[in-house]
Amino acid sequence: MAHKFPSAEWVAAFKDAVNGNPAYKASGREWTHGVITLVVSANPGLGLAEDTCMWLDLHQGVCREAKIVGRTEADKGSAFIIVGDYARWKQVIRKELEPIKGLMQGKLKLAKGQLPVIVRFVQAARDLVESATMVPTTFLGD
Amino acid sequence: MADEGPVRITPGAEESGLANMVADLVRQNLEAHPERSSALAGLDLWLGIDATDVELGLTLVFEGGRLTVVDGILPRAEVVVTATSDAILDMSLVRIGRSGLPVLWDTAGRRLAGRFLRGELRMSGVGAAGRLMRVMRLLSVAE
Repeated sequence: MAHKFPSAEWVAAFKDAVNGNPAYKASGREWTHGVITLVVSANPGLGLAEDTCMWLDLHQGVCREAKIVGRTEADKGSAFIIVGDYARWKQVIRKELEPIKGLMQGKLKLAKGQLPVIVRFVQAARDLVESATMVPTTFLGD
Repeated sequence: MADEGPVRITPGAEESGLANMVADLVRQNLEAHPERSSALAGLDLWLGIDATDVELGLTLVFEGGRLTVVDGILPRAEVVVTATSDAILDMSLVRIGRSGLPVLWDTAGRRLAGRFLRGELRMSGVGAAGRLMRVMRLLSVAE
């Protein structure tokens, strides 16, 4: 069954996909740097009245928890926050845009966190994207 | 131009993700590894970076113990690195040895060397090699 992006169901399926991806288990093995939150910017035209914050508690190659949280909780509890508009995240999930390349092009923004740490885990970022592509997804507006 | 310590971005470059990435990398590296500030002190180099696949260019001006990131490749750039964004990232993943030279025998080093050999990473103005090593020390995220 396809899950609407973004939604609690999609995030739960993403967690399963991450934990079922042996490549991420290897590339993220040394990740001990805390929660990463991916923020889809508000887009009233698509029915997203507020920012949607997808909280990913990643630790040593495992996604321990994944959930939708409010912006305040995300700002307070995340070590890293990456922000992009809906179209950009859609490109990421479709493997049309690599996250690090998106940061270079200014299509995604690192709103919180140490960039050198993110760059060091570039392969883990790619494997997270690979996991996202395994989630059957329906996009708003399609 | 905002004064942000030793690393600054000119107004024209503020919208460039690549310029912000490079500035953040150097700034946060210096915060995490203050000993690397010796690589910045006295470094005099205008370095162009041409990221071909994302069609972005910038110039890193190292002068007076500071780095200024400028949008576009300035004619005065003594050295221009032309590479894909992946290859530019690989430069920052290379470990710098105690000698101050890049470590080319581990995985990251071999990958970068391979990119050089395949022409995926090109460099003009190799006479500035010694100063480039100092830039790599500032950009390296490897522990």
